[in-house]
Amino acid sequence: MRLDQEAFARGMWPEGLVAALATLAVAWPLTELLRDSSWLWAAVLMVAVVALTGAVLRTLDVPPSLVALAQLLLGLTGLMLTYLRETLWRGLLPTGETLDQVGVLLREAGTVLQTYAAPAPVTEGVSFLLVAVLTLTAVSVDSMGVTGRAPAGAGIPLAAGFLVSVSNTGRAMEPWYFAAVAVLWLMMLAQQGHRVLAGWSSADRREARGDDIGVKVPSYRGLGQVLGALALVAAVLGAAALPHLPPTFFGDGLARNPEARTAGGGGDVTFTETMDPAQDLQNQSRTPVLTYRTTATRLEPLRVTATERWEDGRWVAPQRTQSGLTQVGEPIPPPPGLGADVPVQEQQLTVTGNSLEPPHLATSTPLVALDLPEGAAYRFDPDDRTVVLQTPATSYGTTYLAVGGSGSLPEGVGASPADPGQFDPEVLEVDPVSRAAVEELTVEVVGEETNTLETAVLIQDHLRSSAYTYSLTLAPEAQDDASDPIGGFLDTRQGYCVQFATAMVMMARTEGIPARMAVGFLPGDPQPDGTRSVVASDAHTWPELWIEGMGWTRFEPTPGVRSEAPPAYARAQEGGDTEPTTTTVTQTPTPTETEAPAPAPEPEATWQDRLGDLLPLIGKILLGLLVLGLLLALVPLAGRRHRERALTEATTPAEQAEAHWTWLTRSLRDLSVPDPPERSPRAMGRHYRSVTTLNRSGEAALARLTAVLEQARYGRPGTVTPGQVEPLGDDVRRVVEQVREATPWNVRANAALLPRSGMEGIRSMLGRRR
Amino acid sequence: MSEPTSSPPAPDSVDLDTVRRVAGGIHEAITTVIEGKDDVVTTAVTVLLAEGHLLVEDVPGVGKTMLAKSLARAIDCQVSRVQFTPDLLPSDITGVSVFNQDTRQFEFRRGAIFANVVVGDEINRASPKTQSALLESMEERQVTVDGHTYPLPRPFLVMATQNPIEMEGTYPLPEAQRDRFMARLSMGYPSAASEMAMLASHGGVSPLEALTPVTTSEEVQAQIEAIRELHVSEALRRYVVELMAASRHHRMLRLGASPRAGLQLLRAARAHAALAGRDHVVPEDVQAIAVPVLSHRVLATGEASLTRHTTADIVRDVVERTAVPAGR
Repeated sequence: MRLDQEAFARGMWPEGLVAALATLAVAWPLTELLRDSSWLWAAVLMVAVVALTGAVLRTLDVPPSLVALAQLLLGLTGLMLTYLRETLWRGLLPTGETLDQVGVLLREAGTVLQTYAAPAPVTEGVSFLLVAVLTLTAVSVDSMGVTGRAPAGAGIPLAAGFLVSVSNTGRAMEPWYFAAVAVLWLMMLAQQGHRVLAGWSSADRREARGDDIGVKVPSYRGLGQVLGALALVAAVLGAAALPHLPPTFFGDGLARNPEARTAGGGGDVTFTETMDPAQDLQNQSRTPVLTYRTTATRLEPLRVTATERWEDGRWVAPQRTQSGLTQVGEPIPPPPGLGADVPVQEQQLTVTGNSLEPPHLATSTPLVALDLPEGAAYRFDPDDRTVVLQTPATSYGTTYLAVGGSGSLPEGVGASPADPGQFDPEVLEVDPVSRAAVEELTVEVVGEETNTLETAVLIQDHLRSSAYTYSLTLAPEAQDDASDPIGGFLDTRQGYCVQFATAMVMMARTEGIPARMAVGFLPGDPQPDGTRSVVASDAHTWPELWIEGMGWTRFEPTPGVRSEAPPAYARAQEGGDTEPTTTTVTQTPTPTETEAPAPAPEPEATWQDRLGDLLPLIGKILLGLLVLGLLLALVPLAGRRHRERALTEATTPAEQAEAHWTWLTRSLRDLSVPDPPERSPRAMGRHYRSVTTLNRSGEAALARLTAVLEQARYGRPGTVTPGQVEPLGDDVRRVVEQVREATPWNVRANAALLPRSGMEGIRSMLGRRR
Repeated sequence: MSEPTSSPPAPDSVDLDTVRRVAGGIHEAITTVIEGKDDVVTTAVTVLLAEGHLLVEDVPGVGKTMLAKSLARAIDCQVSRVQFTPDLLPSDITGVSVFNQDTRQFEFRRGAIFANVVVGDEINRASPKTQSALLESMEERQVTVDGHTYPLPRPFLVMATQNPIEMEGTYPLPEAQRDRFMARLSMGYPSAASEMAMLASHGGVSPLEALTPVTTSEEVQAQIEAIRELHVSEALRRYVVELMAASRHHRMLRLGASPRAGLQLLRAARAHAALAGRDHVVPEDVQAIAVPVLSHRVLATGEASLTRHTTADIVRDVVERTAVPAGR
């Protein structure tokens, strides 16, 4: 019974449980960043496997390094069984295919995380990535905090995991997330402290005091030095190995502004005179503004209206004159300027719930037909192609053309500039306050490009680049200077869709491309019933540019935070490959694909880009692992060097005798044989005889070692002969070998893989360098 | 360690065989009288060869005087025996100048101390004045009377006995004077077997009577001088220093070991090493004679007496706790 209690205490089950809970607490805030929590169960399972493995192995008194190794192996096996079962040989062993599949999953996860705003969909790859990271976190927390009895160190992986959540929410996180992790971590520390106190002797004060001679206090300073050095190495390696991700990922990649959902405010969607949806973006309401179905696999924003008028640093809603509108019942005129050879696909959009107030009506563009319910009426403004609803309509259907969906654009699109005479001069008006700044930047960005489509794409890509930061809050400098919002934005490069769209409009106008500002909604979130739901905070603005051959064309300069991927025709094309290629089937396998197609289809070119981006990353990770493996392999090497170093430095036979003794003590120390107290050679020999089991030849070898050591230390100088020293090497080996044979396998393995002498050797090397 | 390491100079080498033969002979001879007290005899021989003086302390009848006498008889030398009594005068020890009527000059009459082995029985019964006369000459190995200095013969060994139990009418030796003795021995009771053998054999002729000298005083003196040359490494000297320091810091000791104690310890350790047939001193030599050499020089605290720790226990503790410095 007593033995069982000891084994239980050695297993540190409660500590293991707290460590596992701490790991899960780190995972908790991630649920905010993802659309569903299906991955959570796999993560809980993996963390439980890791914790259980650790506790059981510790109970069995397996050495710490092997505990961590076993945890890692079991965790990886669990991961493979969960995510890569089909690729395993006989359902157990990984194959080359497994590795390929891991690559596929990771690339997929990378694509999703770079493309989507929070909450991101949980694809297989994302799920795999999360569970893998959490498994690794669990292993490191458990092996540091519990097996390694250093819960303070376990704070590092915990904090790292936690930072992923914090940095990606883009706002202050709810305090309980932090509290959960912090409390559990503090519990780990408290358990450790309690254990240390419990280990203190309750013996008589006299004994405790008398023991000061001969008892060595462990060198925490040395340990701290090693930890510091390792942290430095890890920091340097980590910085080198980390890929440079665009700030959209770390800064706000997953951060599709949950603030809009939680911050104060409320009320209906409004498109005020400023055309600025900032209010809506901050709206926390989850009440759908629109509920709709669509036949399209590639979703497009729903446009409500557009304006050309920029006055006093803001957009002004268009003044509609009755004369400009079509009459009720009149068909919608075809989109102007859309060439017959531009590939288009007719798509249906069925709105089942609409709470937009007239005269607003949302639809993807260009609109070709509108089907209103009985009794509702609309007119159409061909100028900005806006539907002016006369009476409220709770449901309606529209037909629009998805441009450039399934084929290549014809040659010559955008080759010729627009004829300014054709347009209202407002579409080419640049704010005089910021004209200089806009022009300067545009020339820099566009260069010699004359094709208007290419020019537009260059501008768009410039604004989408990592030089710009998406934020609902403008930089303080930009806020201070209200007179020049465009210049302020271009200086500070921080803003939300309005700033990005405005900048693109103005830049296009300086290039002579007619441009206007469209207002509407993002496609919204898929619902379980297959519809999509648009809420107030999905409000969005984007520029529409006149491209000869395509007419008014949508672009997407807002970084992939509160926007979608740019339209297919507006993607940069690689080299000579002008083909936007075929319509891509969505690469992200979602279980509800038919109902909720992934909103960000990726053309091949981009896929290859991402692959290209990821390969060096994988290479760096492999390199990092290699370096880590080399570092670990250094420990036994350093141990051997440390054990035998004195031998190489010894010159006289007496020094060699001492060196052999050092070699013996360090080797036996690796095998967990306690060091003899600092006593005479004979007493130390007696100590080793009493704590080891040597046969006669081993005892004779030990006796020779002590005798020569005694002679070396106390005899007349020069009386130790080389002949006496020569057999000592064999004697050391014999004693160590006999001790090793009688040692449990776990201690032997620890001595071979992570010998104490190795750590001491590294420490002394570091100490000497300084 | 200034000497060259290749060839040790000749004077350093000690004829260990002779040392062992002489010491072994004395040891064997004493053993015929004192049975079953090997370690006591060894210590006594060690002190003799280390040129020290011996204080034998125990209850009456365990063979203190017998040990002293047998040691004296084992060596062919001058022996004197003094029974200390309260009326013993210093001049009885050192000697006195008397006026010779014939030569009309003062003539020095040598006292009991002029011998190679002086056996002082019940030294604590003599008056302090007499005690100090003995102790002074022990230290100086010479006697000065009326302005004349008379050197004492070599080897010179004082073996004093005292009875620690009967305190009435005695003058216990002060610490400073106890310090003059290289070692203090306690005889202890013999084992049952030894006692049986003693009862059987002592019925007839006294074994002390049968004891014949096994060596000469000159030979012993030669060995003493040889042992002085025994090698002591720096590490060992450091060990002795640390032992002394540890005794001074031990919380159960009011008074630690003096520097003289260290000197005496090292001298005794040399003799011990020579007896073991080694030409160098190892920590074990020091440890073996640490208790007899140190325990009568240190003073225990009241706490130690209350917890019934003798000074010998405490010295043993000091030895156990003190680390042996490594290296040369």
